[in-house]
Amino acid sequence: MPDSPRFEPAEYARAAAAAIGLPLRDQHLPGVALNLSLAARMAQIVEALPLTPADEAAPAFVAANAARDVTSANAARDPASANAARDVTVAKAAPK
Amino acid sequence: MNAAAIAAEVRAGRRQAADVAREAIAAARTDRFNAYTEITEARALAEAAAVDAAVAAGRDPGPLAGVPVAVKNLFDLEGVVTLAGSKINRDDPPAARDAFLVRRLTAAGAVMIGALNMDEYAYGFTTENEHHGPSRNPHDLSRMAGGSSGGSAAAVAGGLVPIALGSDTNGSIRVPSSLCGIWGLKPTYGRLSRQGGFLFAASFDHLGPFARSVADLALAYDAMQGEDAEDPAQHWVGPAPVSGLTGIAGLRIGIADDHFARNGHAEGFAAVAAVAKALGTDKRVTIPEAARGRAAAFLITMAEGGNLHLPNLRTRPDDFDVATRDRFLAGALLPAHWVQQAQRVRAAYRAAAMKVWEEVDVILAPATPYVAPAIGQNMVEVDGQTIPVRPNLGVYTQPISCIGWPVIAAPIADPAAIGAPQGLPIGVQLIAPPWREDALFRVAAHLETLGVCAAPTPKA
Repeated sequence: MPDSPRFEPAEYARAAAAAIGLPLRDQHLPGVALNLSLAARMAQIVEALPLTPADEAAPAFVAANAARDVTSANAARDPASANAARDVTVAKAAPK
Repeated sequence: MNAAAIAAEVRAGRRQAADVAREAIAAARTDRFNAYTEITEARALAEAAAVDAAVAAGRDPGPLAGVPVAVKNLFDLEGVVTLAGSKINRDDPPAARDAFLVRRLTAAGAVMIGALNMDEYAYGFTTENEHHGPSRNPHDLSRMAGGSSGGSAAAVAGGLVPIALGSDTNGSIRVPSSLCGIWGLKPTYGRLSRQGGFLFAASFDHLGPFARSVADLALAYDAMQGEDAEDPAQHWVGPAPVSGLTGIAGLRIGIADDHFARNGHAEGFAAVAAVAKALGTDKRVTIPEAARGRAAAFLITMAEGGNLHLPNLRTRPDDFDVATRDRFLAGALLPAHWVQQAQRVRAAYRAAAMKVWEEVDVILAPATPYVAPAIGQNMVEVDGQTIPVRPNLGVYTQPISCIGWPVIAAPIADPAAIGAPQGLPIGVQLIAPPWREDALFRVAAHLETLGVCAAPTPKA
């Protein structure tokens, strides 16, 4: 693998700030560059853990929060279904 | 006086909640710790009067009857602007209703005295707030209270209120608990509703209580448990009360090594050793990849915080506290790859770390790497290197909140006896698997009974 180019935090900060419409003031640049350098060191630590394609990100999207959201939606139509759905949720989620 | 004793007196009609409230308001007005940013006097007197009326009418005033409480100023209080430690939020309208946990406490009879100082937008471990001034450690007014819930910890340690609430994203309940010498609980991620709390980094944000005794910590925690459909991160598993739990029979307790056995000063490790000795354990366990988990939390926090505040960073960056501004600006600019990789590492770290629970049920680790630094101190020497003192305050807490495990910060009763500099407070993290707060409360109550852990009384 060829050597990766050197990370220049101040240069990067200006370019990235333009990309997200953030007017970066000159007096803030040294502090921002310092923090980006620190983040780059943290990123190196993170990068050093080998991952496989099966390693998913921690946040997992939930279409509905267990039966709770479904329960609220159903409750208006059928009050009896609300309790049933909630009981199922609690039984499933109870810790061992 | 502690919360349990106040509630017992008020419930029995031996003491008026209104008198207790007036005393707490007077204490808040003469606050030497710069803990309060708002005193809600009219509200407190009205709530106290309602408690007294309930007692007089023979109705149950609740388990926290007449107990004065205060909250970090990121909790919504009806009619009060939710500052979250900032100047910017002063432009916001007052909150329309109380945060969920505040509603739970007051429904249990608690009396709200006011709002407490914090690091701006919770991004710090020191509460050296530029807009409101630094909160001061009740054990030495020249030292930091810790943060970001520094006002909460100072108010409890200094005896202004028996119970306060704070938030913990990377250590913001546990760090000030340790530096101020009180009990703090960061429950399992998703246990307590965060509705009405001004968030910082949503995927790590937890809310929890501070107290000077285990019974009071349990009383507050039990009152706040409840299902809330308005917090998308809450994972409701039903109420699990902890009041009265004690005894460690059957619990396997280990001491965290590796990352948790370096990066700090002698008093942090001596505190853990004293607790381990009292609990009769010398078993060492490793939470694998903890340092990498900390790095992942660092990046995700920066990115989530930067994204949250980008509209104000674009238009009024100089209105931010100088201590947080450049970190938020940098956070808004992080490459997506760093953040996404951190989220994948976080999941891999969680999977690896969960295996430690096959060996033990509770883990001991330092809460902070040292006692409270002086306000304004920038650098500290650790393991032969001079490093910035502030971010390192979270070196032991950040890897744990990264994966949402519940923790009680337990104060050493006699810090001088374990060699803490100037006898200043220091705490220990009691760590359990997700949803096992019950194990934490058993160990905490046992340590309190043994006299090893207790909130030391400030000298001055």
